[in-house]
Amino acid sequence: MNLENFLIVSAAIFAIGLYGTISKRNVITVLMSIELMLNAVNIAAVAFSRYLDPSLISQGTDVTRSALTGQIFSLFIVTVAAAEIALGVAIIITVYRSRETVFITDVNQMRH
Amino acid sequence: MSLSSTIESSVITNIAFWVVSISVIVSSFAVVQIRDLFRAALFLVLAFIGIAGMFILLRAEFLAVVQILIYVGAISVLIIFAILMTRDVSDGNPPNRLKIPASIVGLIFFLVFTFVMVQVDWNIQPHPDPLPDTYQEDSVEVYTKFSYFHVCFWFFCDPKHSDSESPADREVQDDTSYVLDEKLDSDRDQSGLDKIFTDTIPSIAELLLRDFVLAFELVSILLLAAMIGALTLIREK
Repeated sequence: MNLENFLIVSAAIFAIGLYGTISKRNVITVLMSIELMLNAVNIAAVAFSRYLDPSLISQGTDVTRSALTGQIFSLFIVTVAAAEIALGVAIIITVYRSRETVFITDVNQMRH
Repeated sequence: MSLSSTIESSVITNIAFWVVSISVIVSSFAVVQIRDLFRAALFLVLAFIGIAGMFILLRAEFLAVVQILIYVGAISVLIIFAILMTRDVSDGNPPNRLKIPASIVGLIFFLVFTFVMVQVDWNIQPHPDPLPDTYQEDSVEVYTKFSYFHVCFWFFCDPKHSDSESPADREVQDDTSYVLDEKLDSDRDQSGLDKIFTDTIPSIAELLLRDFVLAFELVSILLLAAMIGALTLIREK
């Protein structure tokens, strides 16, 4: 269990989320895949803040600050993901009310 | 070697890491592959719980609790609501034309990132090791002997009759008291980093409200705007 293990798991989850985001028609699956990608980024940030030597980047400043910056970033990413999922679900339900579909290939008025 | 790094390199922690990471990868693959959307959402919940377990393995307990509260408690419920409010739940996850290019892109991404992450020489923080190796082996040996005799003492000997113990036992006890004192000393002068990661919540609070206070307030404004926007979008005209 070292830094590379966590980073490889994070890359695997991100790749699965990327595949789901590009290749699926249902917009709810696309939202879930975006959540997976954000979680993969969180794992990478926390692993970096756990394993990397913080005394190299904190020259003269507090070591605590640079050792925990990854966790603070993950907190902000979680908050932004919550806001994004709330707006996404609202948009999905609005589109479903007016167009009776959740497939992103059917919502293409802007192309015509 | 301090106590926390000993725990982190133990066999049980490694087994826990492999179980958690394999379950996370399998369930996130099931999220994008299962046709039933409701089951996909349940696998998403499983993946979130596994990621919280990975945070615990990374000594970020506060973040693990936040992950359970926000992702498992709020975001999954929102997604399940969205699934239940739309049609075609059981057969609603078809791929579009880009299935093969997307899988190729994902695979290339994974391979490139794995290659880069294995090749780069990261600046891993040095684990403190105040005692020499020979002393370590001695202390471990005496420590196991200590625990064995300790259990024997607890089960078979009354503490009142401790004056009738054999000289060998007394010798072992003297050794163990010496080792325990040394262990306490090595725990006391562990490095600052281990101290940070044994209790992260006060440091996170201090950082959020002192160094990152501008981002903290901006995120609260973002959440307020998202809430108002969602209510405006969803309102019946």
